[in-house]
Order: sequence, then structure tokens, then C-alpha cells
Amino acid sequence: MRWLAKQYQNHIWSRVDDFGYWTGRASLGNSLLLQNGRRLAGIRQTTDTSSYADYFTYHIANSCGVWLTGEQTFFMEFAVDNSSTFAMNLYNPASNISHELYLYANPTTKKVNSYTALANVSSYGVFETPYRSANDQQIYIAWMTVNTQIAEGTQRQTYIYPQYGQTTSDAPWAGIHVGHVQVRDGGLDFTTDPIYGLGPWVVTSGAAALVGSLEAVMLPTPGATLKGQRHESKHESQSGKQYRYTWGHRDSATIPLAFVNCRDATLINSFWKAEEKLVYFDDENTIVVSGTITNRTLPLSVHQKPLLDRWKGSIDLEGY
Amino acid sequence: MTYAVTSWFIAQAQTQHPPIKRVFTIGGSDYSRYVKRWPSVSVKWDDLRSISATISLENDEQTFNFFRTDKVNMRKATALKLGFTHPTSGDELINVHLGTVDKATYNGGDCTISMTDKFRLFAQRVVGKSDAPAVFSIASQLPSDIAWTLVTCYGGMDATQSSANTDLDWQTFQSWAATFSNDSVYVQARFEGQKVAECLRKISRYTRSAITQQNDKLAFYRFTLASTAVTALSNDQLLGLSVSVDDTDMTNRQWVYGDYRAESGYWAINVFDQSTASINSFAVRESVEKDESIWYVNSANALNLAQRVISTAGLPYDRVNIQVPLMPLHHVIGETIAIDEPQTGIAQSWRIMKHKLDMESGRMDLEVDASQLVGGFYLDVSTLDGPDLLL
Repeated sequence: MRWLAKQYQNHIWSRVDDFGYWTGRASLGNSLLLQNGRRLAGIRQTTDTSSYADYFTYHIANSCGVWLTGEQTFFMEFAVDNSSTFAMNLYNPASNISHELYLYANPTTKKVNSYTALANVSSYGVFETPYRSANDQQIYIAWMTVNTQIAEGTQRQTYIYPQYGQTTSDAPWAGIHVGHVQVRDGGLDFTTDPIYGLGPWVVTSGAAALVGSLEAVMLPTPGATLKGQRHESKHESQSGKQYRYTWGHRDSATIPLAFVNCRDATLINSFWKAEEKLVYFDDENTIVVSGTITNRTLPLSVHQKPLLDRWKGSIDLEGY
Repeated sequence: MTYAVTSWFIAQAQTQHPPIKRVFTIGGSDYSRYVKRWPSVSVKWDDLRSISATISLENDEQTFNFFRTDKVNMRKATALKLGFTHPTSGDELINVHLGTVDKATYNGGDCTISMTDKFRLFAQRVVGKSDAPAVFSIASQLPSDIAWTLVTCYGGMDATQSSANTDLDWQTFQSWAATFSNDSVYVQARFEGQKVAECLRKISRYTRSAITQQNDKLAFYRFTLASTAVTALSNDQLLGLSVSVDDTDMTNRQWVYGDYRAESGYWAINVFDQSTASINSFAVRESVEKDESIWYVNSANALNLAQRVISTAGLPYDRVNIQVPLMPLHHVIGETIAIDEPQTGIAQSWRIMKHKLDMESGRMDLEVDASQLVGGFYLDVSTLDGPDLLL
């Protein structure tokens, strides 16, 4: 299960660089669903075995890759058992250059590899984090960070898409993720996040009550607690009949969080600081709690060791 | 005049878990979500004074600082409403209190607002002066005529003589005035600087009438027949009940003085009525109605008052205090509560004489008694051709 915190109200944070995000469970034969989320692209197995150009055409047609524009830092993340491998292609149509990135999840052979060198692309790190899946299998989150500075060609674009034959395991967040937010001048006022300085965001103060929504996807950490409190008066008559006047309800939830990436940690912390009104609901969009984050201190403030860009903490969400 | 509510509203008030709703507005804007503690509002049948309500509000977001920054905001209309939410037609609420803000106190993140109704003016305006008294000396003057002058001329309320009057319940006033007019009850009065509220209280007491606020209007009653608006309460509804029989409530010989001559301080009329049976049992308990502010001008009217007192207070009467959930929410002063309580053996219908509504807990405290009830009636049923006889 995945939990989302959706922001409402007339004070809307939105990302400057609004990619078409992909999310959805990446497994063999699945189609990918386009939603707002933090993921750039999910993964699925491909069948095309022809040239790089054919790969490109195929993935465009099947919408399972994503364009990166200008300089990007992103990371690939997936969950594997000890035998899986994850590979992605980087392709720049202007220069017709393709670059293959491999991520082996087997802890004993973990590495990042590339078939051919590609200028201005650097990748580093293969990290792993044990994780127990929903079906109670011990798996690993393996991830690496790739930094692209591809600027050649007129389009200044790079396309990243999954490579043929590589599969992933049962992990809802597997895919290509943005690690940091890129800012492009869209004529808007920028506000840099004051807590971590991790990414500039833009504030648009619209007049409409619901301009849009911004979601923070939180990993399925066990232990979320929902609480509800009725505000009511009870009276007991002389014969024992009870009269109950329910004046209102107040819902709350305590949600422990782990492995929250920088973007979402920043977002959640900014929600907390601005006392934004949030809706907390599950994947089925069933609203569970409407509230604000009422932690006395910053909700996500502790590094998720040994990861340097993951955070852990807990949020207390209470009705307003 | 009872609240104009639907039968659905009354049915909801009887249920154990109704879709209840309470609302607090200032200038028409809803501030219900800021209320930390809802007030109690009480009213009594013979003690006219402005009804106040004090409400505790959350001010962490400085929502209510507008009273400080612009004091004129204190004159905005406030409203406390209570009722039920209909599943399709929306809220049906009654006005528990309407008024304006007379005091706002800020303490940390809290704001406490005290509100009074518009009849506060009655406590701020005087009628006559000691060296220039307001004299009502016309010989054929009804108590209602004097009350009208006090309310409109001295109290500054609406003088519209129709149901469009915004400050006075015209229907009850008409009925009240007709009671005096039919019996040719004439009074004279002389006020030397009392507040309007005090003058009206004197009329209320001297005529054994209720002058009270209902739904932001002044209502007038002289209780005669039992009210047909009845809510029956038994152990299933009563949260608590206490009954007292107080010997000091009793009067078995009532003196009424009248036709006062202010120049000489002389009372030309002096009548009394008594209950011989009561005197034989309890000995003489005398009371004197002798008021230099208002008096009857003929002995028949004075005697009528004496008889009225003796008919209700000739014996100590039951004074019942009940605590109850919101079943009688739609009732006002003077309406009837039928009580069936085996422990005290009470199975009677009496008028509501004091009414207190706690909006915080949804509880009402009522004082009901027989002090002003005349001619309680019972409906009986007979089966055609049956052996029973109607009395």
C-alpha cells in the first residue's frame, strides 16, 4: 500500500519543471499508468531487439520512457531479488548516441556498468537497502545516481527508457526518479526551500479554492495509526436511556515514514511549516484524514542511514 | 409565541441521537469552528433583563482581532443557533440568542466575547426623574398602553403597530392587551427615574404577566388557559428532577392597594381576598401589593388581582426543576411540560417559568411550576356504546 498526502487550498506549491511522471507497479507485461507522482518513469519489459533508433521509436510509441531536458540529476531505483538486473538506455537523438546503464542487484555483484562511454554522463554508487516487501519477502532496494550534463545537439534532450530483457521485481517505486529539482525560468517567482535548500519551488497563490494538487508519495512503512475522536455530549436519563449529541468529529493519524527521498521530505516539511491543509489517502484515493501536520518539530529531520538523500521521521496529521 | 419549527424538527428533538448542529455567526459570517466553549442562555418569566451570552473562541490565528482594530465591528449582529440538519432540505435552526458584542477579552490565543441582546437598552434608559416624573394619569389606561409607551418611547424599540414590528411580538401583545381591554383593567403609573426594564418588571409583577424575550422579540402573556404546546417527559427523558414545596410561596390573604394619590401619598382603594380553608390550615399568610409606581384605579381590578393570587398561591405549590436533553428545545416561557415521574408521584402539566439552555452540552434546565397555571385540562376518550362515561 502506498500513502499519498494531497494538498488542497488556495496556497498551492507546484513544481517549476513539471515532468510527465510515471508511476505504477512495474512488472512483466504491465502497462504503466500516468499519474502525478515523483517518478519519472516506471519500467516494463520490452521486446524490441533492433537498433537504438528502433528502441527509441518503440518506447515513444509505448510511452514507457521519458525525456530529460538539459542537465539532470536523477537516480534509478528498483527492488530485486538476488538474480535481477536492471538496465536503462540513455539516448540523445541529436547525436544518435546511446548509453546503457546497468544495475545489478545481486549484492555480491552489484555494480553500475555501461557498454560505451558517454561524455557528460556520470553515474556513481550502487547502494542497497534491505526491505521486506508486502508479501513478506526479503528484497533489496538497489539504486544508483546518474548525473547527465548532455548538452550536445540542437534538441538538448536525452531520452531515457528501459532496455530490452531486463525485468524488475515486485516494487511499487521501481523506476527512474528525479533526485533534485531543476529550475527553469518560467517567469514565476521562485522560493527556495528554507529548510534544506534542496530544491527551488514556486508558489502560485491562485484565487481558486483548488488550483491543483501536489502529492508526496510515502513509502509503505508499517505502523501507521489512524485515530478518530468524536466531539459529543452524552446524557443518561433516569431510566438509563442514553442521549448523544455528536457535534463533530476530529480525525488524526500518526504515520511513520522511512526512505523518503529529498523531494518528498522537503515537500512534507514545507507542508508542516506552512500548516497546509492536506488530505491523507491511500492508493485507491479513499480519503482517510483531512488535516494539517501538527508535529511540534520538523517531521522529517533524520537521515535514513546509510543513505545520504533519504530521510525518516513521522508525521502527526490532525483534523482542522 | 413558540418557535415556528417543522414537525420534523420536533421529532428530531425527541430522538436519542439527532443530526444536531450549532452555529455561531458574527455579521452573518460563520465562526462556529473557532468556538472553544459554547454558552448557556437563560431567561425567566418575570425578570426582564437583557439576555447575555459569553462564548470562548480560538484566536491563535488572530481571527477576532477585528474587534480591536475596528471597534465598530462590535456592533455587528451576533447569532447563536441550534437545531438539526435535514438530510435533504438542509439545516433547520432556531435562534438561541441574537445580539451584539458588548465586551471582547483577549488572553493569549483565546478571545472571550460577551454578547447582549437589544433589550440592553432597557437597562440604560430611565423613565422620568424625581423632579419631573413620567406620569400616566389617564383614567382609562390599560397596563398594555403604559407598557407600549415604555417599550417604544422610552426604550427606543420599534413602534410599528403590526406583525411587522421587529422588536415586539405583536401577536402576543395584542392578546395581552385584549385581556385587559375585555375586563376594563385600568391602571395609572408614575415613574421617577427607574430604568425601563425596572418599570416593565413592575407592570409584569403587578399584573401577574410575563414580559420576556422570545426569538429576539419582546413577548407578553397573561397566563389563562393552559398552553396546548406540550412536551411530555418521563423517566426516559428526564436526566434529573427535583421538586420543592415551599411554605413561603404561599399567600392566603392578599391585600391590594390602589388609586394612589401621589400628592398626598394616600391610597384610596384597599381590598383583599383570602382563602379561609388555607387560613384554617396554615394560619394567616398575608401579602401586600402596594406600589407607588403603578396602581389600579378601581377596586374591581384590584380585587381581581387579589383573587388571582389567592387562586394560585392559596396553598404552597410544587416548584419543579428538571434537567432534560433537547426535547423541549422549541419551547418558550409559558408553554407546557407534562411530567410523569413515579418517584415523586408527579403526573402533571405545568408551565415553563424559567428556561436555561446549555449549548455546550445540549442540556436544558427548566423550572416548571403551577404558580401561573389556571385551568389545566385533560382530553379524555370514550368508546362509543362503551360503559365509560366522560366527566
